[in-house]
This record gives sequence, C-alpha cells and structure tokens, in this order.
Amino acid sequence: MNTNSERMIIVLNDMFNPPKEFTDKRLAFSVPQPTTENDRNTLVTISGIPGRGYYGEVDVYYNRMDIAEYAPDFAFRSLTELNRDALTQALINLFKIQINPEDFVAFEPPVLADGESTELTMAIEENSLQWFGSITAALSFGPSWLDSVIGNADLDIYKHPNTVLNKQSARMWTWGADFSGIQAALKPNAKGDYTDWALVQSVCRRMGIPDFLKGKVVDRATADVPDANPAFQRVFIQTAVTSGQLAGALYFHYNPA
Amino acid sequence: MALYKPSMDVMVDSINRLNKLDLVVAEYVWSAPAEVTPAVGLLNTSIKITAKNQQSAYAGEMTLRYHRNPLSDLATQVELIVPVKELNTTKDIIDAMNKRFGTVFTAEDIVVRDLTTEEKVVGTPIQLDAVPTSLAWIGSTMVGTRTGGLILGDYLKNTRLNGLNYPSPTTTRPYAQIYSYWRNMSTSYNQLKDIVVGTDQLSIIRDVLAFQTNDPWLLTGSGRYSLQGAEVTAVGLCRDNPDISNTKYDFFIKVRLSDTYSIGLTGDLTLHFDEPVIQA
Repeated sequence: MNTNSERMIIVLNDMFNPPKEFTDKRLAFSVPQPTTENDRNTLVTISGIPGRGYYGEVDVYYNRMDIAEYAPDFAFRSLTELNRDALTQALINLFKIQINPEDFVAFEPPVLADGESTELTMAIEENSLQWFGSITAALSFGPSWLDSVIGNADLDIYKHPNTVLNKQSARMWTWGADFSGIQAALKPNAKGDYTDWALVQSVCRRMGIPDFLKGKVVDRATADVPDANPAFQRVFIQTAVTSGQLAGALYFHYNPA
Repeated sequence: MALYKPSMDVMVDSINRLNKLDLVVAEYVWSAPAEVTPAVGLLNTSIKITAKNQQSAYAGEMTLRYHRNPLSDLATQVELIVPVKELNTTKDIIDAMNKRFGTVFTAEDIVVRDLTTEEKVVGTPIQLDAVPTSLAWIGSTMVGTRTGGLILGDYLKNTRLNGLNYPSPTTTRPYAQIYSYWRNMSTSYNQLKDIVVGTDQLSIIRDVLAFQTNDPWLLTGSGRYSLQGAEVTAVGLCRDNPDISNTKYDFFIKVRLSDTYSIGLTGDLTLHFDEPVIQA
C-alpha cells in the first residue's frame, strides 16, 4: 500500500506533462497546516532535498480529507486484535479508503472482556498528508464482523488447467490414461528424449492427442509432483511442449513394470 | 488431488489467503451462488456467507464475488469424449470425466439424471447441465462417449487357460491328425498297401496302429484308443492330396474316428507310409 507521501508524489507527477520526475527521494514535505487560502483546506511546504536535483521550497495548497466523512459509524469487534493495525485494516475493508496505521495517533489497545464494549477516539496524526479529523470507534469484544476482516471480496478463482487462448490442456488430454504399456518407449534415453519417439507419437495419435514435438522428458514419482494423478505411481513429464494445439506440460502416468 | 480442486476448498483457501484469515467452512452458511448482471469483468457470480452462531470465529455476513465457469469451457480444454463401460445415468459420464480429465464433478455440480434409451447407446453425445446451485459451474455442454476404460483384469478373470485347441474342435480331445501326422508307418507297408475305403479292414488298421504307436488300440468299446465306429474315408497318393496328407510320404490312409467311441482323439487319423526300398 502506498504511503501518504507516495500518493502526494503521484498527484504531483500527474499535474505535469512531460513529467518532472518527482520522487520521495528528491522531495520532502513539511507538516501540513490548515488554511483557507486558494479555496483549499491545507497548506504544505515542499522542499527539494539537496543534491537530488531540486532545491528551494514551494508552498502547495490542496484538500485533505476528513476521516469522519469517509468512515462514519465505525464499529469494530475482535477476539484478539483491538489494535491500531487491525482497526486500520477494518476501515480499509469496510469503507474502501486508502489509509495507513501511521495516519492515526498511536493509542493503547483497550483491554475488554467478553461482551464488554467501549468507545475509542481515533485521531489523525497532525503530519498526515492525506487525512485530518478524528472518528469515534465503537469497540467491543467478540467475533469480528466478516465485512471488517474481508477486504478482498473479489476472488480470482476457478481457473482451467490451460488459459492459453485457442489451445487445449495437454495435462487434461493424458490425465487418466495408463501409459504403463509403453513405459519403455517413454523412458528418457541418454539424450533425455523419448527412447522410442516413433512409438510414443503413434500411440498419442491413435489416442487423438493433437500433434506435438518431442522434447526433454523426466521421470518422477507422482507423490513428488503436486499436479500428477495419484492413481499412478510414476509419471514421465515433457515440460516444454511445442504444439499448435496443446499448451502446458505433458504427463504420461504409469506404474513400473 | 485432481487437476481441478474441490470448489469449496478453492474458495475458502482464496478468501483466507487474500485476507489473511482462517475461516472454517462449517462455521458459516454459504448462500446459493447468484448471477451478477452485468458481470464485472470476469466476476459473474456472488455468494453471501453468514456466520452460523456465536461459536463462529467471525460474525455477521459478507458478499463475495467470483467467476463461475461455463461447462462449455471444457471443450476448449480437451476433446470431450470419455471412455465408458456402461451408461445408465449422467453420473456414469461424471465419473468417467473425473477419472479421464481430472475434474472433480459431484452431483452438486452436474444434474444427475437417467439417460434416455438413445443416449445409452455408446457414441451418442450426452448433454450435461450444471446444477443451478453449483459453486463453480454454470451452463451446459455436450460430451461424447466411446467404449473403453475397461480394465483387463475385470474381464479376463479366468487366467487358467485350456490350451490352444487348433486344429481340434474340442478342448479335451486332441485332433487325431496331430497324433498320426508325423509317424512314418512304412515298416507296415505290406499290411497297409491294400487297405480300401470302408470299414472291412479295421482290424488291420488296429494291428498297425498298435505296432507303430505302442498305444493300446481297440476294435470295440469306447476308450482313448478305440476304432469302434471308425471308417476308412480315403486312401491315395499324398502328392495328389496335399491338403489332407503329409507330402513327405508317398501314400496315406485317412481314418474317421467315431465321435461316440473315441474319447481320446477326435477327427481323422492319417496314416502315412512309403514303399520300402528292398535292399539287394
């Protein structure tokens, strides 16, 4: 997560084209001050760090955000973590705001027993570049609310074995097939190729498997290969598969003769 | 573990990993997946989890979004033809797919239904439909079938074979021709040279067979070596009858044994002999 000053740098760089290449190595920020000038609520003095390209100081006017507006009615419950980090994470999860634990004045976590609750004022640090104000959090002891602990509710799941467009999954093609009968042909020879490529190719074609070029093949125990079929003891794997129609590694499962 | 992982495991692992939690599936009520319309990028589905009770590690409820795959996607992964032994319900297809392709379909993912008479014919494409409440799958797809997946050991159960029966039609009685084909009976030339087709000279045949083979050939009664009911069916030159005789010899006599009385041998005895060269 970006810190306050990093976000300010982003804003500054967005202002200029061609970019001025401001970085937090080159610029320093003063403690922000409330103001009413220029129709902005904050004044900050930005100074160049000597020897890094810029020198001198500029007063910049901008708006900081009032935490009370963005995170009203903050209630937090936990069995274990009534601390600043957990509370900040809950704010991020619940209100989808960008904020860091360091934006808040440090506080002592209250000690609560089962069923007890308290109110805690969470004040923004005066040097926070992004936020000002304070909120009152209703803290209680008990299971955390799901929506305060789950910030990433969009799950990136249910992928197919192959995600290459217009190709099929080599592993699905051979997943359940028993290649014990041609294990002598599949076995890597001194060069690391199939011992009898002609036989391997003809068997694969007979099975309807799309054509592929031969490549280096290794012999592994299925127990050592997380995605191998555990119904078999061993597997020959051609990792690099060149094919117009197949993607991914080819697995030839077998049980030793 | 299969290529695809059980849907609920994947979901909980993902929630826990992304949010550094340790949710336990059983502590929450998982709603039926609902369609997100319009989909947000790939996110086409939402599901609500609600804490079951005070013992749950977390309280309240939360709606999550994720991607459900259309079953038709499978056809982009692999040629959807599964080997099947027998076809009664769509479960037979599901099981075959799980075994063949590494999917982990259950009755909660795909509608289990009886197949129609037409669908039970191997080779007929069968439609699979996702259960509306399936966590990971939507839509439907067609799956082809072929005969296969037969485990040799399930079918070749009797491994104690009776032996090769060629050229005898029965498994218990060797073919008489094999018994006699190779024997050189030239030393009995004088007895055999005048044998004719019919049953009149079986006693001569018996004497020759007993002498040449040392087996106890009988004229009457049933037995391993019995000529009762036998008949000489052909005599002649081997070179004229190469299909039924051993052309290494000059002459042959074919004797059809009785199926009833000859319980040791079956078919035709073929007696071969040459005219001995008389040494001066």
